[in-house]
Amino acid sequence: MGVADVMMYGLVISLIAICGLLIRRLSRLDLSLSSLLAGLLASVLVPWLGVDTGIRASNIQALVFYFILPLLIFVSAWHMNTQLFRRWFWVCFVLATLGVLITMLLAASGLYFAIDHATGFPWIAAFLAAVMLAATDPVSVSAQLKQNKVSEDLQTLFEGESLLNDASVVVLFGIILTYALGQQPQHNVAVSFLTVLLGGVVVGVLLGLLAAIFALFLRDRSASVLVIIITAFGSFYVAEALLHVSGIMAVMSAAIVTRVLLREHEQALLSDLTGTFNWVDMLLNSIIFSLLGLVVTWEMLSHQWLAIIIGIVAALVARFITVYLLALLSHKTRRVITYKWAFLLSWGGLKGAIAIVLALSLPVTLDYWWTVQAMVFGAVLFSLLVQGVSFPFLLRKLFKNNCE
Amino acid sequence: MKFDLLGLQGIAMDFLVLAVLLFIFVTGVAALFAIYMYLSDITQTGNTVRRNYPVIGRFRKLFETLGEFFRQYFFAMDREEMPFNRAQREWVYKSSAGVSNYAAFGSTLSLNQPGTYIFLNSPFPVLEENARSTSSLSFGEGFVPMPYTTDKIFHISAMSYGALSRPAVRALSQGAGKAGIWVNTGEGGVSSYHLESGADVIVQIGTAKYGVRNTEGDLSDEYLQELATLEQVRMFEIKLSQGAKPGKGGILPAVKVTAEIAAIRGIPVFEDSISPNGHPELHNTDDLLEMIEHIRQVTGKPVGFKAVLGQKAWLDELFSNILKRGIHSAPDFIALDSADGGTGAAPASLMDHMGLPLSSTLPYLIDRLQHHGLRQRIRVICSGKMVNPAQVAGALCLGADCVVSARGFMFALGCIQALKCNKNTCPTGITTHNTDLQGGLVVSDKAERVARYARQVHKELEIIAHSCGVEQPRQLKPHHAQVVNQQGQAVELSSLLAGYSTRQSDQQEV
Repeated sequence: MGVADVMMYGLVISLIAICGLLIRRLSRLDLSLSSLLAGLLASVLVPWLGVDTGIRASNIQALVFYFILPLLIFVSAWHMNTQLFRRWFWVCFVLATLGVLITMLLAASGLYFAIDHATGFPWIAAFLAAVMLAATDPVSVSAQLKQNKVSEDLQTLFEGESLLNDASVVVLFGIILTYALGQQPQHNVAVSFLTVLLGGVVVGVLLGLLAAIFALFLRDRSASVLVIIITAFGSFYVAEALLHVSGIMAVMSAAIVTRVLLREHEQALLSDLTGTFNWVDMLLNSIIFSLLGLVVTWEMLSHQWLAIIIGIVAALVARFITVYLLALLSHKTRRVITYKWAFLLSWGGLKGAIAIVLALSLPVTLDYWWTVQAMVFGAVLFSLLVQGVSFPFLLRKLFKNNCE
Repeated sequence: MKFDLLGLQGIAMDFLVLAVLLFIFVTGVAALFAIYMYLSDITQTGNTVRRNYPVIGRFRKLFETLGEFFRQYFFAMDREEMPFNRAQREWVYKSSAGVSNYAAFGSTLSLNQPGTYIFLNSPFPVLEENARSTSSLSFGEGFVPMPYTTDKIFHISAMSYGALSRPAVRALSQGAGKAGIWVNTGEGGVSSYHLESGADVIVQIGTAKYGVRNTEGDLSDEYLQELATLEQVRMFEIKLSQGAKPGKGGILPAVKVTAEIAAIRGIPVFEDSISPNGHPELHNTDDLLEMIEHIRQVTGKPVGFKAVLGQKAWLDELFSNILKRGIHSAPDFIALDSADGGTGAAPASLMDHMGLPLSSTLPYLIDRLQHHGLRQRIRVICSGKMVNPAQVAGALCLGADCVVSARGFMFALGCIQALKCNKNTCPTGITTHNTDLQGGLVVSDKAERVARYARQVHKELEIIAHSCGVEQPRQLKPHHAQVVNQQGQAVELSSLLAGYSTRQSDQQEV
């Protein structure tokens, strides 16, 4: 893939993303829905115009994997250090670790037994699909929570969970994927797992430290932004491509370390970063949902409709069971998740950017990749169109009852 | 066998390589971190020292924090810490542990420090077999239906449940029960933990009247009556002022106002509990006598007041008023607090500079009582930093009837003078409601320590008395002691009063 090709892909996708913003401006839909619409329109209109963009699921994987994923995780992890969810940290942490594991196991068994086709859809495929379905990304939901001025705690819980489970889902996905590709580690599983995770952390800490040194030495706001953006890409690349350790852990720890080390200099060095991250976040979300629109095809829906329905149901059921289970457990602690909250958390646990990114990065060498991708895309679409749209009504109903 | 050896060698080599890599990594990160610290320090603008002395400037803060702890262990001399030096604390610790508190070689106390008591020994000390037990003393005998009699001298001063933790209050009251001394509830009201041991209890009525107030915050006769029906509630004490913070009411920081404490006090949970700085219904000595009379009638038990003296003319007014109303109207006791008394939380300027210390006020109070002929009617309890027998004996010589101490008994509970009483982080569990920290304070053990400490003080009071040639501590009189003055000479105790009287008359002349 030459530079000119990369340029063209980039420009085409950005153009679609801009169209998404245009639709948002005109239609009052939220960013994810309007970008999705722009992507769908493009996927219909562009072939009709007789132009081939060349964008296929197969050739945007690397782009998504090395470009979008690191930035997305870096921005998430960067915000993780804020005071925002110290109060709910442990709850979010349990939701994002134990919760993700339980959801994955439940959804995977649901998928496996519902599809019941051990050769075409083995356990490993079920796990791959399930782990992607376990990631939550309630961007639109938290916007609605803010508008409705519901308890800040609930809002924090939503955002905190999504921040943390991005990481755990990506790490789990990486592990499962190695097995799916048949690259079983030679040594002990646990040892290699730990090496990969810890190696990632070491890379991240080192690069984060270096980034802080550079930012301090350059002593310039714009330079700091540059250093930090490079750190986001660099840590992922160094870890993943050069050292073959967990890129996601590297990005996360680099973000956290840099943030902590530069805490004192936030005013002086990092004040430009907020604006940068705002547009980066917007661009990434817009691109991701545009891509979703681009690659979702009519054939996918018509061929895989059963798998998609199974995926949606399995994901929802697993989510409900997990959240209620943990809510039940939370009653033994000081931080209680009420059952009303549990309901909102379950229904509002939309699938978003991470799920799409991971599904897009599925290697096409896997026999079942299309089924898995279809399931995930289906679940994302369902959660956006049904769960996301119905959430405000639900919220109003539940909290009106509460007030009376 | 050979194979195994090779395998082992391989593992050893692996380990070596790993160790070397780890070493390189750690030193590398440390070096990078030093560079980071340097750059961070010269970039930041908030801290001058770090800006001018990057990296090493950081240690200043660290050492300053650690210094607080190191000083106490390594650098502070036995006689130089404040408020209580190590020698004073050590005496309490050893007494309460029940180990010998004899010292060797000679006194480390310099005998020319102003304010030091020097007892005057008799050439013919009282022999063990001639010693008499301490005579008992009554409060309100002949004036109240239920007077209180005690043969103990040294008691537990006012500390509220709230300022103190639950196990601390329980240990204190159990210890008091064992040693036969009283425990004062402080202004936080009577809790079940004060009562469970059966120890004598003095109920303090603070300016906010916690524990005895109705919903409007006024004194409630019903609650008073209810308390008075308990046999172990012996006396009532109206708190006018406290030595550590005269003119300021009790302060319980919000973190220490737990649900239970709020319920006992009748106040909201986790809000600062701040008593008014005076009793709203008291404006003059008449009001005070009315209130004393009222509480005495409602409860049938002795009633007195606690105050720290600053301005003193009102005492004469009070005593003249008493004589006018009749001797029965007098308070049954006056608890005189010293300016250097303790507190859980107080503004530093009041703590350091407000009110007079006991050495100025006690002789004056005794003198005024004698002048008005009320010395037998009104008992004098005094308090303020008296944790060792010598200070207690000094107060007895000056004319006190009983001495109370709060911090002495806190040392017996294991207090290490960390000065964190207002932070809810007391490392010894005495002034914190953090249950983890309270875990260190085992009630049954500490109760025993409290009792041993009280007994040891009484025992050593007797030793002092016998050396002075009297049979028991209550016979100690001003001529049994001298006090070191500013010139480092020991002078008669009566000179404390004389110095004061002349000053007073000077002022009147002006």
